[in-house]
Amino acid sequence: MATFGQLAAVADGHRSEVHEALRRPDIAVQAGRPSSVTELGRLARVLTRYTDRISRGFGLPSDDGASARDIARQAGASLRHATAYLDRPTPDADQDTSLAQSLRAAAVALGCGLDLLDTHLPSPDSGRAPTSVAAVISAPDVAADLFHLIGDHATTAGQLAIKSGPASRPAGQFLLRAAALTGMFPHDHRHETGLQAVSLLEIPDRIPPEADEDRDQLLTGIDASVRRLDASQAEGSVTTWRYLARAATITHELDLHLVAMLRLRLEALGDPQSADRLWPVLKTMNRMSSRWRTIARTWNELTAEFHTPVIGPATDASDLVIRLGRLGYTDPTWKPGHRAQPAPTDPAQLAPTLSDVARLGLTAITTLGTCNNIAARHRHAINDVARIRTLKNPKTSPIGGPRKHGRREEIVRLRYHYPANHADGREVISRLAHLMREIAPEPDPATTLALRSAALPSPAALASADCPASSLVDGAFGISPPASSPFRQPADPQRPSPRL
Amino acid sequence: MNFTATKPEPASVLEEVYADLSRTKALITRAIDRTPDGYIRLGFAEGEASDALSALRVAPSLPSTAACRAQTMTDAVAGMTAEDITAALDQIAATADRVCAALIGLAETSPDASDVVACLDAARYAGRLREQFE
Repeated sequence: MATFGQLAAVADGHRSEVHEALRRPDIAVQAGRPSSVTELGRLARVLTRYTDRISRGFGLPSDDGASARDIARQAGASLRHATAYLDRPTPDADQDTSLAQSLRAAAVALGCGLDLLDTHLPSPDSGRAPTSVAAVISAPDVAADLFHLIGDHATTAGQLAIKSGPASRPAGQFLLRAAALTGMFPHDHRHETGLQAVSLLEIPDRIPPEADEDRDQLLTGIDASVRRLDASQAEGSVTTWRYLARAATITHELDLHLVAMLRLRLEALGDPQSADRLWPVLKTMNRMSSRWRTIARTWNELTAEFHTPVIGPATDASDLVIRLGRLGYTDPTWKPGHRAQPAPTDPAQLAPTLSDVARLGLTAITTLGTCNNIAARHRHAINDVARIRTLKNPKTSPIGGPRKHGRREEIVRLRYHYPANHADGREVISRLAHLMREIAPEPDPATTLALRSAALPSPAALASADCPASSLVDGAFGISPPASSPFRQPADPQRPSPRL
Repeated sequence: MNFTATKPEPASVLEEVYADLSRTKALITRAIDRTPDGYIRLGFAEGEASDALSALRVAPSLPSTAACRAQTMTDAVAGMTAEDITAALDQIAATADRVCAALIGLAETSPDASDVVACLDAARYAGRLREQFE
């Protein structure tokens, strides 16, 4: 699947063609051709689309990134001025020069890249909600990557425009100004942001679990379930909430089992320090485990008058449980039940090398992220219960005693345990993500993107901001960005470090 | 002593089933809390038992004495030893089977549509509960 990085690389290839052309003796003639000027205008407009997106914070609520938005606004204004000098009708007879073609190709690739990012972002028209990748796209260090990209193209385009004749020459100054503005934003080439790995939002098809899947098939299947669950934003019925709470509880316990095995494996691989760093993670996960149980059991006690069928997400949640279990236990046909074989997989077989530990750590992180998304959507869940409670005022019950359409104390219990687990879950995911990034030898864009989108708060979580955030500030996000950066905003306790 | 040649009253069947399911649920809950991987294995089973019970609670023919009797069954489970629990867990598949058959049988003869819905709904959960113990 095409990634943003591939599109940016294609755009850059065409940009370097233009760059080469700048040195040719006939460049003034070529640049002045109407088709060249028109294509320059097209490129400038695409760059303006980028700055517009950044200046609006990609349509996401955010407290940081004010300086990025400001720079984007100014650069955007400059690009618009440039466009005004480049818009002119192309005579039909004018042949496409190779210069014009290169410019056009660069603009198309960049436009396509932006469309690709857009599939992850909220859209007011279609009512589309942002994906977990959206938080990465809108992070300040990704804006730095994008500014770098815009700056490169604006510089080349500006140099070309200056040689394009008196009518369009002023555009060159504006393009170069935009390049200078975007160049002001600090950018670290070595810092991997994950932007390059962003691909079109595609909800994978369900892969029904088969017996005897090997480790990589299990991991692929888990990945598909996680992405399907994260994409399912349908309003759940009470039955679905209840089922998801159970599945999240089991998923969480299986993750606890997995992380405990990874700890053993790290010790065996001669990295006791990393292994020790998993103790606080396991401790927090234990605490979360009993809270998830309380949540699931509270749902068990809540009567849903009519048992609407368990839909969509429940199947994916069940696939996830089955595959996580088959990863953690030796039985290749494992499924939950009284007769489930409890023999755990040999950690050495599960994760022979450190990079396998990191790979499985990533699976633990993404599946915990799914549980956390379920916790984050607790507001909907509790509102659904409260609505039933209002509609069906329980006066009488055939068996006496209060009918349980969400009694007050049960709702209060859910209101406490969901946010508490959500906050603890963020801490656990963040600690694991830091550790796995240190263990993984090369920070490749795909892993970086996966780790970051799991660790950054999902936009849905930001929307339900009543979660206690105190546990986020005390050292959980220990890696801080370089202090020298003049554009660094004060850290907001709600948002972890974008440098993760 | 009743004339047992005729079919038992729906109320007494429902009370019986409700008590059986309550006991089953209490057994599963105790089994879960006894072992570290308890919830992984039996979390869904506990859920199915709860769902079956909550489906039954809306049956108009469920007598008011059912809750009390269910509580007695639940309390008895609290006093069971670990060995008793292990032995009782092996009986759950049979219990779920019996419950399922009783509920479907009752639904076939019940004149009250609400009872039919509640019984068949509960039977579905009981069937899924049995699957967890196969």
